[in-house]
Amino acid sequence: MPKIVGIDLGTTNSLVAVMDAGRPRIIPGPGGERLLPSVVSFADGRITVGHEAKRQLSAHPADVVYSVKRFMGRGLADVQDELKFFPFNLIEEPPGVIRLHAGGRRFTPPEISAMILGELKQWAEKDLGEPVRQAVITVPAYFNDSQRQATKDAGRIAGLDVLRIVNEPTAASLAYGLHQRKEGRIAVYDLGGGTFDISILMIKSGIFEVLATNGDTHLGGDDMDRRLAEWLVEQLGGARWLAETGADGWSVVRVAAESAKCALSDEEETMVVVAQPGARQAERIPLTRAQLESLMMPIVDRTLEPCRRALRDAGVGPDQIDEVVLVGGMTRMPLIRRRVEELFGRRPHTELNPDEVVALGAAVQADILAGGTHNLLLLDVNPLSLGIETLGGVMSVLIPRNTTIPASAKELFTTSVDGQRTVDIHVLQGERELVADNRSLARFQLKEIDPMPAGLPKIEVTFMIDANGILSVSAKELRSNMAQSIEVRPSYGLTDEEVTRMVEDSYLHAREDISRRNLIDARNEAEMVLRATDKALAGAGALLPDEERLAIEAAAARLRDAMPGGDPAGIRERIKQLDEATVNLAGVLLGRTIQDVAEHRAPRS
Amino acid sequence: MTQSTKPSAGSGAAAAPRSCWRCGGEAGEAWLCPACGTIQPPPDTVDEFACLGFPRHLQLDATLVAERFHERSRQIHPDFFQTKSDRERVLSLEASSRLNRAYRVLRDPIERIQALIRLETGERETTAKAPSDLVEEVFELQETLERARGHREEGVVREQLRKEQERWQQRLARVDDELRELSARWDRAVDRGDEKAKREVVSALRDRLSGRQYLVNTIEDVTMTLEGRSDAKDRRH
Repeated sequence: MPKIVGIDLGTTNSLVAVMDAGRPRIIPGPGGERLLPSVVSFADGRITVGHEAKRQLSAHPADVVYSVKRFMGRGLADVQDELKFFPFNLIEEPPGVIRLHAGGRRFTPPEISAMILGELKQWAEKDLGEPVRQAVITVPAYFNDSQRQATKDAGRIAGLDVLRIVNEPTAASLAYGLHQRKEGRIAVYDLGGGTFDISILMIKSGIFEVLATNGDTHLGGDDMDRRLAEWLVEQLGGARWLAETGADGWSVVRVAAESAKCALSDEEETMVVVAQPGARQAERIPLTRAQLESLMMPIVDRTLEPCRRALRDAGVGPDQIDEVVLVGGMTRMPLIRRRVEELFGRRPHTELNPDEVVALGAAVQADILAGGTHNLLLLDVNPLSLGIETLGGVMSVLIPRNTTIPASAKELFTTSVDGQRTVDIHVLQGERELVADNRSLARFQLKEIDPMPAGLPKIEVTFMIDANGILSVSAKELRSNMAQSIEVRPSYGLTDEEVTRMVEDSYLHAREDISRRNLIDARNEAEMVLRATDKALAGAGALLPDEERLAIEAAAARLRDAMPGGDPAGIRERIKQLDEATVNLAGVLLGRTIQDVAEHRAPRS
Repeated sequence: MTQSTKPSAGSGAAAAPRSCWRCGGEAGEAWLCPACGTIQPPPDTVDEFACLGFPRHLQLDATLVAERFHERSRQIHPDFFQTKSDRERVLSLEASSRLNRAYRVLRDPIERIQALIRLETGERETTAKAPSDLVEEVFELQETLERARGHREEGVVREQLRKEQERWQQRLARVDDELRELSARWDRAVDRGDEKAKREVVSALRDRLSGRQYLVNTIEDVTMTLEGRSDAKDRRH
């Protein structure tokens, strides 16, 4: 049976894991690395993902996309505040769909995420030695419908059938094997690169029942890096320094901030080195853990209110929590561990690597779906209330927050005017009273209603939130018991047709990218061979018969001619010809070196 | 967001006795066919009590409610139908959402009463109504709230509000006691099959519940004023 992998698609890093002989394990990349930086680079006309892309960040800030998770399922207005911190060129087109301009093309966030997923898929296929088609992908528990749908779309574009979207904190609790305790309440505190989640769970004989969840989808390590980067800029000379260095300066400082922040989790003080490209010497700024903590305190404390709200919704006090689990790379920060311990009055679990625990849990959930694990069951909740717009711009709740999913609600609709053929339904998500303060999910239109006097049609609409936390809507006319036709206009994100087109596009571009990469590799190889030949001719050319030297020069010229063209096979062919022409030269060169050694005890440089 | 225009599979209005859609055996009201174990369309009744195998009683043991919920979840949760046919997957989704709803209602004594009133009278919602014996107190409180919001005589008003908060919380506790007592009466009436007593109890429950809703809203108002929140930003629950 083909394996189903578990994927943690993170803001900063992504991982893939699989169940192996009853235990989840992380699948490493080709170099043995376990984390794939969630970075995609379009620099120099080629697409690279992960560490290689991250290395391009300082040199090509405009062509490298990071933290794309922050844009998933969002509109421009949602991310307006942070836009000034991202060097990307963003537009919204059509309304509700963000597009990033990079590498001469426009990409939606799901397309960028699909490149990250595609890379992890390759890792898994190489490791498992078989094609991987199905996956479980994790999302922050507090992700709304559009953000979940965007994640599912990303999977599809990457050629993955996303069997389940699982909440990150819940997945983490599965990995911790806490079901070995007979019974108890646990709190999962999950602070990642861009999002914060808190979930309160009840565990009883293998059933993981989420009691309440809360969070902030725009709070995480990114905010801390940014705060520290702002502070560093102040030390360097503030706005004037930034104006002089431009976008590059900000990128360099941001990268320096990130590594300083990590270093201070283990050390008491560090030296932040800001190596500005083009500057004569690097700037050095000393930073202590205490300084960092006073900068970070306001951000860390923003996580405490969601914790209190989750406890309130779960109907328990902090003293009724039996275990606290920390998830997400940010929870390595001693300040965070301290604050969480203070809130819950107990030392949190940190046995598992906080970067890996979510992916491991996703692999466990994948195994449950595959039928491999029977004794565990995850009962999760919808994080936000779902409702519809009613008269006066008020939201009427159909499915309250923290309802166990799958959850459904039925609502009756009718017409208000004689002969009315359509009825509009505006679906919302959020906790506020007024429509305008909540998130618009979609507008549904009941169409082709039989013309009847007002109030006579009875259309029953069923709102269903599935186990992924994603909404679907169906309707039927009760008098005829016939399905009612519905048109859906999602407020944020892509339509089904657009995703299908992107799936096709991605195959097309994958081929294009491969041949482009092939060409670049061939050119690089040609350059190397030519350089070596020139050097050899300069050193030992005089020892060759003229005829042979001319043949070599001709082969080298033919290779130079082929390089600007677009044919990698042609370039490789001429590399081969040049190699053949230089067989003798290589031998002469070798002989010469030996002679040098004999005469001077050291080769001439 | 996905769209599904298919009518729900559970809408076939199958009248009991039902037979299994796969093996044709007698399925009754069971979630899974007793003969072949295949998942069945949920019965058409929306009775949350029956959904978890309880009689229409108001005094339910919370531990037992959770146990039944977990036991049934193990049978019908979509996680266990991932590798099954499309029809079975749709049925598990429907059954599971029905089960989750029943659990949500039955685990909370107040929600339970609300569901009972809905089932017995067909009324969908209970509207908040000031208890008739509290008219004067309501006026008094409104005045104090106005003063507090206007930031007049702050210290004195805050002290007054705190006392009001306590007083209204005591009233709420009294109503909850009454509801518990009525719940016990309801269960006895059901067991005796006393239709007249049942009607009386339901009407009393409805009256107390709308009064209770009013008390809850009032306490919320007082609390928010004390905490300095000017208006209800978060929805009331």
